[in-house]
Amino acid sequence: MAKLHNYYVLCPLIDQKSFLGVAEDKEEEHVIVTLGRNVVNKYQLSDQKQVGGWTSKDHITSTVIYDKEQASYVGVFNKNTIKTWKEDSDNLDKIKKFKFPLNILKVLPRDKQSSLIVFSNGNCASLPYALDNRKTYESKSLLKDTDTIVESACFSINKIDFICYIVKNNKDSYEIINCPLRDELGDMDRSKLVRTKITRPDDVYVVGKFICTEEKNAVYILWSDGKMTVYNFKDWKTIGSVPWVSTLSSVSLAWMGKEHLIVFGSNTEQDGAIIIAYNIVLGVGSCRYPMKMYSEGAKLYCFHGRIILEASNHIGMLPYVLQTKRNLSSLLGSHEVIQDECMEIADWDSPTEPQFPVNDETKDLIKLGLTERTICSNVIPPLLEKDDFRAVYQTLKQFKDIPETTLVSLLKYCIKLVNPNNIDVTDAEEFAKLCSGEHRNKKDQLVHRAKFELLNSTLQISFSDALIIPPLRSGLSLDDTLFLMTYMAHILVNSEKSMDTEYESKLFDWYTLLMDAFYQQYLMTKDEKVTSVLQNTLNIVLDLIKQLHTVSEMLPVINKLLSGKMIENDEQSMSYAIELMQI
Amino acid sequence: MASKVHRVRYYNPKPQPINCVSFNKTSKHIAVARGDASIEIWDLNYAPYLVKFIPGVKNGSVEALGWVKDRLLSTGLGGALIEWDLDKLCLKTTVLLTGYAAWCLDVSPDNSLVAVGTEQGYVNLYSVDSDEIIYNKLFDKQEGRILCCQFDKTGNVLVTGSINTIRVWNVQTGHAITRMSVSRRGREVIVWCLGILSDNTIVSGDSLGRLIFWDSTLGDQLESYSTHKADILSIAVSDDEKSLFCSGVDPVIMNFIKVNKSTGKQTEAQWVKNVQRNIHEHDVRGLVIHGEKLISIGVDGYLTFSSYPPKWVMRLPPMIPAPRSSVCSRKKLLLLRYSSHLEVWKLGSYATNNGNVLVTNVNTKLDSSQLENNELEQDSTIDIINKAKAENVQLQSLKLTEKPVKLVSIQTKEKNQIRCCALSPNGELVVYSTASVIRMLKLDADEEQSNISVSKVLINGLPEGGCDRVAFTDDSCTMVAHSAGTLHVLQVDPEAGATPVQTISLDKYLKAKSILHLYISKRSPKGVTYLVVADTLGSIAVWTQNNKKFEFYVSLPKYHCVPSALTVDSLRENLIVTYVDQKIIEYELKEKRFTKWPGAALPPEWLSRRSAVSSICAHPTRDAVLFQDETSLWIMEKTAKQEVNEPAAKRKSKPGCQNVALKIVPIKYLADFHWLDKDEAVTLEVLPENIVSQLPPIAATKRHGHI
Repeated sequence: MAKLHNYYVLCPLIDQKSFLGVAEDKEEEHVIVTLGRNVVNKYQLSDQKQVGGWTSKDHITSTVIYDKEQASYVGVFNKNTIKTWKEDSDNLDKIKKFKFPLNILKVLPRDKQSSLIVFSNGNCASLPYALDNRKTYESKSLLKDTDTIVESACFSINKIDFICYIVKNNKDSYEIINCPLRDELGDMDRSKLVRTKITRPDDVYVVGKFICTEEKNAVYILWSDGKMTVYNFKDWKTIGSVPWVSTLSSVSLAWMGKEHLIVFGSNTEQDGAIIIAYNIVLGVGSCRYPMKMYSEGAKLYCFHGRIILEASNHIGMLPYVLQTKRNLSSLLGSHEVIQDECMEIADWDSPTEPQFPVNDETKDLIKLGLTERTICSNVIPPLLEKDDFRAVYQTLKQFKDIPETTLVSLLKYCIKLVNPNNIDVTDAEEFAKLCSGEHRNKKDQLVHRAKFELLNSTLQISFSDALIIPPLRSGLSLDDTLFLMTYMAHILVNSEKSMDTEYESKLFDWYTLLMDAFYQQYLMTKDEKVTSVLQNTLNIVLDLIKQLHTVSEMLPVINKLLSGKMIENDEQSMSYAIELMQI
Repeated sequence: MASKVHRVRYYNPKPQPINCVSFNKTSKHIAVARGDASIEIWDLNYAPYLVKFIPGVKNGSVEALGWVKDRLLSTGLGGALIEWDLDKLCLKTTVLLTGYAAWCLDVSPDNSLVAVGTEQGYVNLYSVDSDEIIYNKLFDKQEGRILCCQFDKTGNVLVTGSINTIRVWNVQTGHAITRMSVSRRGREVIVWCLGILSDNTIVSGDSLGRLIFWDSTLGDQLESYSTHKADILSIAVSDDEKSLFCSGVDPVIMNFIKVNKSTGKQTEAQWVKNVQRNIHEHDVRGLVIHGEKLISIGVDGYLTFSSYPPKWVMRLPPMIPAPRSSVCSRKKLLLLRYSSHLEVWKLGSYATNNGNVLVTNVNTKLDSSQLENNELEQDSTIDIINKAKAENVQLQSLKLTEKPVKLVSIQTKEKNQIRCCALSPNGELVVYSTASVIRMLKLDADEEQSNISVSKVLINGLPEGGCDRVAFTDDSCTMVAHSAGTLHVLQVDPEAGATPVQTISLDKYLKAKSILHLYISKRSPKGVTYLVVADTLGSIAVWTQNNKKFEFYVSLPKYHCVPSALTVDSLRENLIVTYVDQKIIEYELKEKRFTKWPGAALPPEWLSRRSAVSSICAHPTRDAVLFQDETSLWIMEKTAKQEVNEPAAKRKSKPGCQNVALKIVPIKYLADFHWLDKDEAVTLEVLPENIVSQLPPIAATKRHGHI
């Protein structure tokens, strides 16, 4: 990820046309700015203060550099003269001139080696060697008259030094010239010179070019269709397209470091400029910084975490931060996840007392560590024998897991409770009367209702089908089942009791269960009561199925209405009707 | 007691666009030609009423119409100038033109010359003085088709419009005097319509939607208004030349009026935009100014009348001319007439439960016109219909046990258009006539009426050329057909065919040779069957049937306008006639005199009606009469609130007495109404939305406030 900070001015420019360039000084954070033909200044980047500088009567024609090997500044004057000076020299005019018989393009500083003089005709030589042999120095021009070197750099691969030029001819086509250098002399081993044309089959032209000598040695070319290609001196590769920048005017490129190129060009609207940090690995622009003014062919450098940019009337500076690690995550808009490795300490200090209400009978049994089922089967039957239905009801509430045998005896008890006289189940009227219990006084009414409440809650208890059938067969009589089925029919159809679906489905479970458990008896007996109850049940089921069908028929209509569609009237009924009319 | 009404809404003949229109200022008749080349002539003296219908021919085309006094001329893409016989309602003479297809026609103001503009750029000039069409001359050929032409008031100058150009011609010499160019920036501009004012100003409407005023003597453009978003197809200038209307593909009707601008001493006339009306949704092809009213016609097929101020609109829907249907009440059959085919339907039946009908649903009717997007100006209605609409909100539909079944569909030969048709009262015979031939078909049905076979029944002894009215007696044994001023009485036998038994020449009894109504009453309680014929000039004559023949009985006193509908109340032997001026008369056939009903007792609402009554029925159970027009059914009690069945009391009603009781059932559009039984009836309805749905799509227009 790249982040560009705020832009500020390093120094004003005297005249943009005569500005020659910026080079690194011997101290870090210092730069040599060759402001014009006569002025060279040194600036401290951190506070943009001028820390030194020289003026010259002779015209400076190339960027002044600092040669580390000789620990001196080197400048090209009047295109053919080299002057070297130390930091403390104050008058450049008095320094010894080394005049060459041919024009010098520039001086390239090299790490841990002497600097390289590049001549306008394409030749080069190491600074000391060239200075020594300047009088006799002659060489055949590498370039045609129409060619000009627009970019030059030197680098080394496997301790072999190379020089690389980008040459432009008068037809606006570009060529890369790459050539190994001989040791010491620093001149070109012409037999190994490689020329590579910069072309693409498409109808595009070059808008930006840059020779990178840091991290990877390569030539980056930006094309007019926004595509960035790279030449690593073996083959070409397309990185991707550069966003946000207009390729109608020339684009300046420089190396930022950490897989990033810095791109300066006009913005897409062509009403201002833009600086883009371009990731060459991912082929995406990772950061952009809009600028007010665009200047054609602006010189662009990166020193010590700062972009140095030639602007129309000043040299600007843009500090930046690069982090390769966060590349993807920043592009995705997420943040680095900080792992929370702090451990949560569970509080195991739970009370030993059970966290639910228990009455005295069960308390002791819990202490024994008995299961709920066992406790239930111990507690309920004695209560049933006592015939205290309220106590039964209260105790029952405490249990979730009730053994099936207990459930059956509970059911039997409930039926006895509400139906002591064994009512005739075929008599619907009498049955309804029993259920509503309207003939009793108010107190009895309450008792009566409570009894039914017990039955209702018993029917809601969950059970296992397989386990309950044997106790059901032995526990309940045929009459009991008939009563139960009639009662369930009553609450399904007639009662005003509000039911949730769970309770309703429980009732159907009971129906199935009773039918399963007693089907033989139902089959064998010719009792009219059985026929009546079964017929009644059948009617209920059929009725319910009919309702389900109605619902499923209604659903598409409702869906259609919800989605806002018109319900089409039957064509025939629209176009023909017999109506009553008062005539 | 409520009547059970079969509301038949599946009768949807394709609405035909109106191509052109011509207005006869002296007779106040308007001729309109439709897309199927049929020509309708409407009488506009009072309520607009269709008096004549000339069926179109296949692949026919009528692009322009013109009246020469009472002669009707037309021309079209066939490249001929045609004169129509308005008595026999057929082609009279044809003259071939020079220059292939013809696009326009104009008659000189003195009714002596006809100019026709053609595809190849020739203007054909014909003299039409002496009841003939005589070739006069050809004008100099010009480039490009001539799309409109117009004589000036003097008849000496003809102005033609074509592509990019307007030319002014000297009729005497046949040379062009002036040429005006309408092209703009090299774009091709079509001049669709012209208007000429008496001060030699020409008004043109073109395909860019511009209305341009020109000085015809100098050929200068005076003023130009871009009034429409698309082509202007029609211009109508008022007689006093102070107002003009224009409209076209952009169907807004614009009104321009002439105002006098006085600057100091000079007064200068200028045309300014006045009102605009959104009456049509489809292209307006023609405009005619008739007094205060503007008549507009176009692709929607409606004959639209409008006026301002106050804003008032009346639309006559495109419908097959009456009679459109007939019923067989015994078998509950319904015959429907389409342009070139007939359909016979068996009506549905309703469920009864111990004699009570079963009502399935009760709809509260919403007045849909209120809910509609009121972009378009709605038909103006009279108050009483609005009131009736508000009242008549409950519709009780009966449960259907049987749906209506289409028994047969009868196509005419070569898709010739039908002029008239009838279903015999016993439901066995269908008779129809095209412009050339009359055919009778027998319907054979088995018991359930599920299998129908159709067989041809021979008709002997009828002259060529078909007939334009036909009717059966109630016993289905006698048929009367009218053809070119003669009534042919035929004896009909489904097996043996039809043979003429009598011909009655109408010359003696009627003034015109074309008739409007041919009506045969049911047998009255005394055994009398009346035959009533009304002609297009308003004469009404009555015959009675004696054995197999008809004997002339009486002629009614002449009235100044045409009868729009008539019926015989066979129970009381009264002839009831409504005229297009809304006059109702009742004539006692037995006594040969008018009854006093309705006299002055007509409610004022009745007189506020603007449309003509299209049929009359006597109420089968009450002493009441039903009048039907396109939008409503009016039930008029004959004896007001006085005692029923007391003719003496009826006669007492004087001015100032109670008006007759009136009930209105609005139905839009009611094509026909028939009684089936004492309490059962059929309404044939053509819903406006069904007309609209069959029209071509409209050009998308963006109007203010709408997306």
